[in-house]
Amino acid sequence: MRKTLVSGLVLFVCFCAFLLIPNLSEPAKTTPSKSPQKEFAGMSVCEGCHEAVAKRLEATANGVHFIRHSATTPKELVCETCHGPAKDHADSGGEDKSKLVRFTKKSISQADRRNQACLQCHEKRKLLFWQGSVHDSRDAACTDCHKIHSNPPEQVGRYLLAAGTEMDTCKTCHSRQVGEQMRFSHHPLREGKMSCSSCHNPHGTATDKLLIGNSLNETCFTCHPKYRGPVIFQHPPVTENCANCHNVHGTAYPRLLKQPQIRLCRECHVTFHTANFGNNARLTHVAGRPCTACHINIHGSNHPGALGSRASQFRR
Amino acid sequence: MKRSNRNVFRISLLVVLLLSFIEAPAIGEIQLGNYFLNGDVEFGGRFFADRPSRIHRGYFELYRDYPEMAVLERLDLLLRNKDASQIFEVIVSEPGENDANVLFTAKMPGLFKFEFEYDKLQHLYSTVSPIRDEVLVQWESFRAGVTVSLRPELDVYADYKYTKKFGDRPIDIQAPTGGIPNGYQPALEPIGENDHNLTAGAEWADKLYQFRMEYGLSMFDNDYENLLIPNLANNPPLDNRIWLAPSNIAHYFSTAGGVNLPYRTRINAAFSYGWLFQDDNFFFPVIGGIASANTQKGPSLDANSILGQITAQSRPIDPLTLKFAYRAYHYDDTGNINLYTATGDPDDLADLLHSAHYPFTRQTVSFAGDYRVAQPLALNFEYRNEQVDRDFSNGDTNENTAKFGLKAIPCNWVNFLATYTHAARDGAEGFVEFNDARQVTMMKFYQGDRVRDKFDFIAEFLPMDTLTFSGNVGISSDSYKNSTFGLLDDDVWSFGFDAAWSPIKQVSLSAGYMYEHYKTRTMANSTVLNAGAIQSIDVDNGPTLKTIDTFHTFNVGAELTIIPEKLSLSTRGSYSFANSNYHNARLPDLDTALAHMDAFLKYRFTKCLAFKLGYIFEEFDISQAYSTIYATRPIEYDMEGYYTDYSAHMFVALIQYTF
Repeated sequence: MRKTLVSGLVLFVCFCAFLLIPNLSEPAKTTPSKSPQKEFAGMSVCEGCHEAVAKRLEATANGVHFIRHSATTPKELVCETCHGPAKDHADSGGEDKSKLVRFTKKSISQADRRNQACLQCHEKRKLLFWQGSVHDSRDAACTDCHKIHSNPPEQVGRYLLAAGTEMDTCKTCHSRQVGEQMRFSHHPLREGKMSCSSCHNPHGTATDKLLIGNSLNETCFTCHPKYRGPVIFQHPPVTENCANCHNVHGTAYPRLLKQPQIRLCRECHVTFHTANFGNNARLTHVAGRPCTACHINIHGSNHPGALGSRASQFRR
Repeated sequence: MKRSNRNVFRISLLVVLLLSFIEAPAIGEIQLGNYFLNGDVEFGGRFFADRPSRIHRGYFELYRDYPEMAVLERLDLLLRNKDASQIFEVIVSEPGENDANVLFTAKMPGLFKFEFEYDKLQHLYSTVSPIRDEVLVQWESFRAGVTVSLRPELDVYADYKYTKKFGDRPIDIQAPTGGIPNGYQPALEPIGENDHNLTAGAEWADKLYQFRMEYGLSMFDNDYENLLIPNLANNPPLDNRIWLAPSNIAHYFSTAGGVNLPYRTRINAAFSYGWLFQDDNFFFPVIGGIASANTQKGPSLDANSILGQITAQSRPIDPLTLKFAYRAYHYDDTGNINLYTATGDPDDLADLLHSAHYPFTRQTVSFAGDYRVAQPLALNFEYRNEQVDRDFSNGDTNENTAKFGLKAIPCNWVNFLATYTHAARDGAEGFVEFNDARQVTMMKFYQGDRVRDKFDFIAEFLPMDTLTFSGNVGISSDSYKNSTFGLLDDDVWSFGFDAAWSPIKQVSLSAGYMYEHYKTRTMANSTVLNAGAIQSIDVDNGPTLKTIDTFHTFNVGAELTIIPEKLSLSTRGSYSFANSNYHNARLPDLDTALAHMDAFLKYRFTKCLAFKLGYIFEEFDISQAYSTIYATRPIEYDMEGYYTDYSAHMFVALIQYTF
């Protein structure tokens, strides 16, 4: 533990030292200047050529904020709030796009430059950890998942999602995880009562896998607090990680178990007694609960158990 | 169709016909004084041409409620003043049903936001009992949240959510001596769970840095402390009593923040402290093999969880991204190492019980670099070390991981993304053998040596604006190379594709397929009989147990505009098939297949009035292992998972009014 801590601190100190090297390049700046009239064209000019786009924007939440409720700078710039100064673009008859920030998949604007446009306003709450998050590091752009110019709710979902629903949006890159909700045992995702963001914050969190809790277990306890404990008699793999036994995205077995119980428990418990494992109950072993029928409180219990010396068998 | 349903259908049809003759106002906002109202409402009826019978509908209505009746599918109202400085929104779906949702939002952008949400969810476990229609747990939750922006940079917020779960859950317990064959006894666990969640915090965010402080409280209260299950062999002294989940409380204090530095550098840090405790009753003493009803106040138990994290990311020169992260998570409940006696007499040292606690610390350090060699090619590398320290007979593990990634954009219509990960974990010996022959022998797979290789590849093609195609391949192999027993290998491979094509503006088509293959091998040694004698496993064709699960998932979709601005069709379908093979003559394969198709035809009478006719088909096929009701088993209650095949044909007729 100490070795890991020391090596981590050394690496961090090296990283900080690296930051003290003189500036190698200027960061990209997308914040509009304080004298917009010089570089900015204004919405009416944009509308001249992009009428349909402007009309769609008007119906969106962002459009409402920019157009009708333009109380604060830089919202008053409307289109140019996100796309950057467009005067040169307009003056050149649409040819000069060098100063524009463009958002289509084929555009050459780098993802972090595009994202800066969004982060001007969206930097709180769920976006707090965006910068440095796994999606940010891998050059994911906000507009890969969100469609800003579309009109909810028909074309896009509540959060202006590009694919309409969260699952369809996430599926672009995480098709296997999304596909797992089609399995026999699953959380109510395909029924629309949960979504990927019920457990993950795709904009970044303090955990691996972008979980909303401090750990996988604490994420699960959000809806299943009965397993949180503490209890007198604990089952170590439960205390440590729910995913030791469950695949939360969906499985072929009841209760999101990774394997049928008769085999799952054997991943650790090599040898056990034959009680209740007669041949006439074989099907039950697969579909039912052959182990937890007796070890019923497998997540932990306050009960000392049926027999004193075997207190930690979770049988009561 | 039943007579009552026919009447509902006729009335709905009549309403639609009448509405079609009404000259509806042009789409637009309705002015109410200084406010403007937008909205969208869908209502109508739901009818079954073929509805699964009660016994067969269990899996069909697992999480959904499909009463045959008039429905309000969706209501969305948006009220705002002229400059949109005050906005009120109501979204309602399926009120009166077991999966209803209501969301009310009131906000003044940049100043204030209030939300109230009511949500229902059902979890239907079984419908096969001849004496009870259904065994289900109903979830009902209320949530209220408010955010106030005291300054443009400063928000304070609070959110409260109460969730009530009630109903019954099927369980099985070990039957007492003299009980039914096979030693199982089905029972119902009463569910009466109350969960209160409160979160309150403040957040500061300006261009340079952001900071958050938050307090979270979660209180779980179980209405039921224990469950007495009568012995079906009619032998009351041997009734079974089990302990139900104890009530508990958790407090979380957390802070998080980030700062923007030169070189496009961002440093994030988070710290969270969790204090968990419970002091519920526990049973004491134990009489023979059966717990008596006597309870005793248990000791106060508490545990702590601590999370600390810091990440730093920098883009010092344009093509280079560097990232460092350190994370530590510690769970500790060693403050409660107490001794209990099975007899309840603290002076009785003959039968001491030791409470079992397993504190651990997980630390992760990672360093990553991403270099864009040229505009079309980026390479990335990540090194990661994870160390888990465990106490009390649980082994430590140390895992080193190297990850290589490549992102290539050879031309502006092709993307490739590939990652390869190699991880080597040094674990504890992990093999624990007890002297008591009836105790288990363990090889803890999550604490043992492991070598992991993982490869993922995604290719995306966008040859035209109207055509996208993507394919993916994933291979993962976990080898517990030094494990003599327990889990030996866990391998997964998968591939799939998705395609979307819009040949003309009026037609959008999509299709996808995914294949997944999971294989595990477990070494089971032997089985110990109650008397302590050892018997080799043969009934399960051991000692090596191989389990293979395969999954096929297909999906298709189409959006067609048949008559522009008038008639459109939206349809999607999916089919998934799963097979589990245990490589054992006595364990038959488990197969499940689910086919789903829905199609909605929408006719617009005017810009704001439309009629939607939907057809939904679903068919489920599951192997006998789940649907067999054993003759030797009493079926007053039946086990979870005993779902049956079904097919359902359902129609939905809806009127959509937009204003």
